[in-house]
Amino acid sequence: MRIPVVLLLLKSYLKGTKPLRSVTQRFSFGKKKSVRTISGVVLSLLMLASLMSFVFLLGTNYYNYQLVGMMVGVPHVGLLMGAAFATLSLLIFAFPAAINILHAAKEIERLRALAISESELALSRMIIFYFNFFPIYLFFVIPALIVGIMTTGFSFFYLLSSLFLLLVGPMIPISLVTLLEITVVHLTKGRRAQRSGELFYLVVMMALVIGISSQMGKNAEMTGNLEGLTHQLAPVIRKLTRFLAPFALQAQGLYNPILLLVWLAGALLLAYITFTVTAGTYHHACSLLASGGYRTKKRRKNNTGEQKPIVALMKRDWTILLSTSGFIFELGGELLIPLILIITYTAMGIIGDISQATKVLAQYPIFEPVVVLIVLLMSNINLLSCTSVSRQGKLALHDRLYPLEPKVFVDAKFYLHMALVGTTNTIYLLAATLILKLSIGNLWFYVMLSLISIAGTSYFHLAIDYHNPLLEWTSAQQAMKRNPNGFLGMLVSFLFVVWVALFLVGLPYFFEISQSNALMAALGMAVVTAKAGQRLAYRSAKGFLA
Amino acid sequence: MLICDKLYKRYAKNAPYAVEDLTLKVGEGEIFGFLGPNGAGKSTTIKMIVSLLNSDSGEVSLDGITAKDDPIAYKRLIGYVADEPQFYDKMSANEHLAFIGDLYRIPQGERTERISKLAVTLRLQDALDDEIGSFSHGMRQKLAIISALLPAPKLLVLDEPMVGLDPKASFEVKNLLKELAKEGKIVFFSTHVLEVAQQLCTSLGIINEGKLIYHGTFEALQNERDESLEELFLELTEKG
Repeated sequence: MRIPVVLLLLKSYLKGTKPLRSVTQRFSFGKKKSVRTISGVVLSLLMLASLMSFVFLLGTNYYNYQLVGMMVGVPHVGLLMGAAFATLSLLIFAFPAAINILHAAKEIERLRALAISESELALSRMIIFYFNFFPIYLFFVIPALIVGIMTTGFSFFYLLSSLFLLLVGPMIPISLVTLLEITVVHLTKGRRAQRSGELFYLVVMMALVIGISSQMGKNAEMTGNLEGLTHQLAPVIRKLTRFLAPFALQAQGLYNPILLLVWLAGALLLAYITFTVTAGTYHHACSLLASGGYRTKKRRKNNTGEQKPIVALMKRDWTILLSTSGFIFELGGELLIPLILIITYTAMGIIGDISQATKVLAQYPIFEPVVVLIVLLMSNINLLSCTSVSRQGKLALHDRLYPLEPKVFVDAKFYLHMALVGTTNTIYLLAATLILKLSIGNLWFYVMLSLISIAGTSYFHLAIDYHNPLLEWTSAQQAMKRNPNGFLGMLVSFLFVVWVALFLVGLPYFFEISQSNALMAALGMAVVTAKAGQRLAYRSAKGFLA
Repeated sequence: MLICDKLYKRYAKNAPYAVEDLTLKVGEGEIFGFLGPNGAGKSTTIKMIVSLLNSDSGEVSLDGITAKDDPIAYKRLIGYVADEPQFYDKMSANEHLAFIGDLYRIPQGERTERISKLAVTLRLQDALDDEIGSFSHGMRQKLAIISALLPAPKLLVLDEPMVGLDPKASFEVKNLLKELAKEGKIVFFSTHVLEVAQQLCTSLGIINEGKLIYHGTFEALQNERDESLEELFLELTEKG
């Protein structure tokens, strides 16, 4: 194997994709240079601030774990959790991208025709895969390492072993995901490999998360006094340490040279085996995917009857949503979050506890609007409209050819958003009303308020994406998860809910205005804001499509 | 009639013009061949005609309608076939054509009749229920032509339409374009294949470095100098 060739492949990948520059370019708006610079700086700072707040929250959690562990005589639990969260996150996030990066990226077909060996190409793709997810690993592990310093102090060995953890740690989940991806490609013979693999993977991951949660939940009936709490927590923490033994080894390796060498050797051996398997099967896997993808797929006769343009556009957007598993899983995850939480809590056996706790909370008048706002927030945080134009890719430019007003395109996307998000939100709100015994009389107004808020958010999201859509992408993740418009959209979603909350909760709390008047005020403000969002979306679409 | 009047376009403030002072007229029943070396400004001009790009100055009009004044009416008159036709790969050809039919509000009966006629002409009728993702380049090209002709446009604009077509398909497309011209439609296409231009076009334009350096009939050009189109093309573009 020629290492300079591998380095050349990596260099050409970086030059060809310019990952950092493309992100910074997308964080600027406006035609004037000064406006672009200011908007770029402001948005980057916002992004940094939200990242830092997440890091702080993670650190606080790890710190609590670390302290609880020390209380019951199990050291480094915070570090263990950091390594476990980081690995689990990579296992979850890396798999959907594995096929696209390792075997099915557009440039691979061209590269395979060049005088490059399978092992050189395989190694370069594995390194690209590793670096794509390296930042996520850092994001989860660095707060834990800081907690380690805070609780046990700093040493040169700790610094050295931390560096090893940061660099070698991601190799474990990346190797596991790679091996699983190769297995899926071979088992499915390349036909719909991505979708079937992800479905299987989603089920396994859900089962794993629910399994761990329910196991831990069974031991988590706490008492009030510290002695009793310590006594009851000890078996949970020990069970956790046993269950997550590989991560306990990683955590202890930060302080013990022999344990460090043991896990390092294990991780490097796994990475080497993965490389050998990947290189050995590379040509065959690429070939399977190519033949599986190009095989003619006959379809049953579809309904192609006459429809209004707006319905045709909605159907088109729906087809795009279903076109790749990346879009399907993103959307499915977002729309079904409350349902997933209910299943998880039921499996954990704490749904009854939640129900009991809400009986107490329900006595407060603020309880009802807060529940509505929480359901609204869960529905509103989604990437459906704020990446809708981006998901069309270069084909979005074709919309300029069609003889339709720009508002028709906006409305089609908006109605699809309402059909998906509005409907699920109404169902969840109805379920919350029944489960938490909220006032049926207010339900109609809360549904109205939620639908208007979702509508307004959708319009603002469309305004963002029509203003600066990300049309050049090679994987579904780039169009949705890694699309800065998605980040801006989530921010807008959050701010919209805060804006509604100011009236719905803020007015009765601070000015003692009656709940019904506050609800009317919130409804009024939501309508006005949604109308402004609609105007902005139409203007933005006109700019893009005219 | 298609009129391009003093079109200017450049992609950056200090960059050279991609299209500069381009003026041309193409009348009903004409097949206009647009020739030029790579990077001469053919695709930029075409994109301005089909309103994918706005010109910096100048305007394009079709039967007196401009994209600026009435974009919807203007777009209704135009069918466009891109050099690399792109589709939503998970749609079947029939679904895509139904989508176009809905956007242009073509009644069902008329739509079915046109699709079956065009699909038979271009021999794509057996693949209409297949996913576009499984199509070869030639099949995509044929589908793009059917999509462009489905709304029965007044002007058909094609960017390198013969690339990737097998000889039989190429022959069928040429016949189709001639038929359209006979019906009084305007056919505007760019090509690198000088023989195609020579066989098919009733008039041609040669563009080099963004400027239209010839506009007229092939016969008039040949009458000036007794040379082949290839020699004339090379001579004109090298001078530019």
